[in-house]
Amino acid sequence: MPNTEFELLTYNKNIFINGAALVVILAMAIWAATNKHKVREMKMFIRMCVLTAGIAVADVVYYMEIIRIDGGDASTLINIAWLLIDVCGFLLVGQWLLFVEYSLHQSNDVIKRDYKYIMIPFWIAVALIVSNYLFYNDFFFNLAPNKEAFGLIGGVITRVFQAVAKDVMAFYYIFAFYLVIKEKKRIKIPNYVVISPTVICFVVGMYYDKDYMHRVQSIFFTLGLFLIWFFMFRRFDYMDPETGFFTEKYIKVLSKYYSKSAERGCTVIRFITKGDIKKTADIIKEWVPDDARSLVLDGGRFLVVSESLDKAMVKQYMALIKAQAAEEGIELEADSAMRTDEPIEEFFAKLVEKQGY
Amino acid sequence: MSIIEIDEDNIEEYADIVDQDIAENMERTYFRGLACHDPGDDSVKSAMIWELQSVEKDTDTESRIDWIYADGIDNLESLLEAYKEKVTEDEVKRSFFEIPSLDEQIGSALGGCGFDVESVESRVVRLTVDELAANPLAKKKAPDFVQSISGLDIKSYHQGVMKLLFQPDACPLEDMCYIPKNWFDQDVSCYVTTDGKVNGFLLIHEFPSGILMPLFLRASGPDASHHIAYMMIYSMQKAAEKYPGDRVVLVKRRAANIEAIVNKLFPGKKGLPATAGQRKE
Repeated sequence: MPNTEFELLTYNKNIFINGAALVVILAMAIWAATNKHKVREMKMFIRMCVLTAGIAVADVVYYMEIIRIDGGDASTLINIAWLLIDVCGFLLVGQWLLFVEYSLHQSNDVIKRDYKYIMIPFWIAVALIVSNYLFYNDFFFNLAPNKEAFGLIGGVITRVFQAVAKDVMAFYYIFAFYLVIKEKKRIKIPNYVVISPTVICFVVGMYYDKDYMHRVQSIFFTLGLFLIWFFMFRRFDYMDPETGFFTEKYIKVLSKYYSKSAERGCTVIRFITKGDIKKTADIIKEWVPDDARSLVLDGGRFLVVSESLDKAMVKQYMALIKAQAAEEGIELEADSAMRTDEPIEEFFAKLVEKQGY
Repeated sequence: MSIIEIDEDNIEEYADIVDQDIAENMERTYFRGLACHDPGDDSVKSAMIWELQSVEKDTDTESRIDWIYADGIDNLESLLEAYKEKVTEDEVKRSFFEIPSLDEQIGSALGGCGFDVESVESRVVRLTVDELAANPLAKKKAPDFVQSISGLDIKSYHQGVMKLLFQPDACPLEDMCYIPKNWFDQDVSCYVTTDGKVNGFLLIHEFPSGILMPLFLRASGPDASHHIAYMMIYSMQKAAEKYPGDRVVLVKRRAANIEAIVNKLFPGKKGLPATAGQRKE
């Protein structure tokens, strides 16, 4: 309760801080909603924005209500604000985990298969918190024969349940971080590790509790969201929204990757079409793995880059993809090139030239 | 002696001497064969079948001799001379073999022709369907997304194979991208899907003799190792349902991952005794 000028100032400041967080969250949510990259991660990101906004709004309501009651009776609105903060926090960690998992694997089935049981601790923690709210509230307090004991026991149980819930949530944030580290070598898309600092923000946000400053966790969560936004922004810089393939910008990343090892095989199949770009990309996607490096360049050109294709397989690929394109009425030319002794940048530069290789 | 090239068109003429399982391979892209005939009565005095390896790769082309026959050691020399000419044309840099139960005299003769010959434990492990069924792995349940390839359309089969071949060291089979779906046992071979796309295969071939041999085991994606286990469970169970318990299953430990799996599931199981050799060409 704000019974000093300092506390009042602190509470007003927290309202201002949460309000600022809301503005940032809104801006990021609008970016995601209007982005031309229509990918599943955008919807997940918007949900995380909504949930973090929910926490910030609940904080604002909490402080405004505390100031309003000014040391008076307990307020139902304060209890609702606490409940909203906890519920949004739980949903946020679940959504964050799904976001990381989907970003790494781009697969709905992997999520369904891998997360059949892993969310059990999560639901147990949710059940504990919800049951706590159902019983430790003003209604039952007023019915309790011994209000002091009810308050004492209820308070202890609440703290224990909340501690368990926080630890479960922290576990999931750290588990997502572990997934990123584990998958870092397998995933060839650059800079996924940028997700990692966001974990620090979320975990600090959950545990930060400094006297009357504790209700600024929305700032840490907003910072975490900002870092996610930045990661997505950088990633989409390399990707073509229409086809989902990498753009010509990605060749710099490829050159860097291949220049680290002169022995690393590099075979490129190039396709050129005058037909529909999206349809052609969809045909190519049917034949190359999802984690292969497929690029789309201007002028209806595509590059498929592999470390391991030999001449026989290259011929097969070209033949199969051209055959399917022909079935669908798309004219497609194809050729291929294998890395030689020339510098990798020159190798790619020749492939990107509009005149044939 | 007259030298005749053996191919899929005339292999049946050698049915009396060529093992039927070896003969079936003449349909495949990189298998070659030679036979040495007596000019008098046209009887076959010696013959051999080999497979070219790394033909269209950046590494040196090699030749793996799978079968060799001689009616008397004296008849081997002409055959090996003709073989030398043939592999030189194909730019083969090294020849090698690992043949179980190779005739000792033939082995010695090969040693005399420049091969470094030794007795080895073959990479091929002999199992039976009963042994597979008795393995604890076969008692587990395979999930619903593992299915037999009988229901898989040709296009999805080719797409799945090509995607899996995209990985480095994906398959020791030289001609995997050319082998049709119906070459594999349709009920025991299986595949897995993720998000509606094939991303794992366990393909098993039934040779004319009835011997079963897994030839392609590969999966991709984050759950690849789990999928491989699931496919093995599925195939072990289907094999037990379809074939009698004494049906032979030969598992060739072609790659490190297959060797690791066999060693784990069947610890102590040794490969067949074989004669191996190699020489530079």
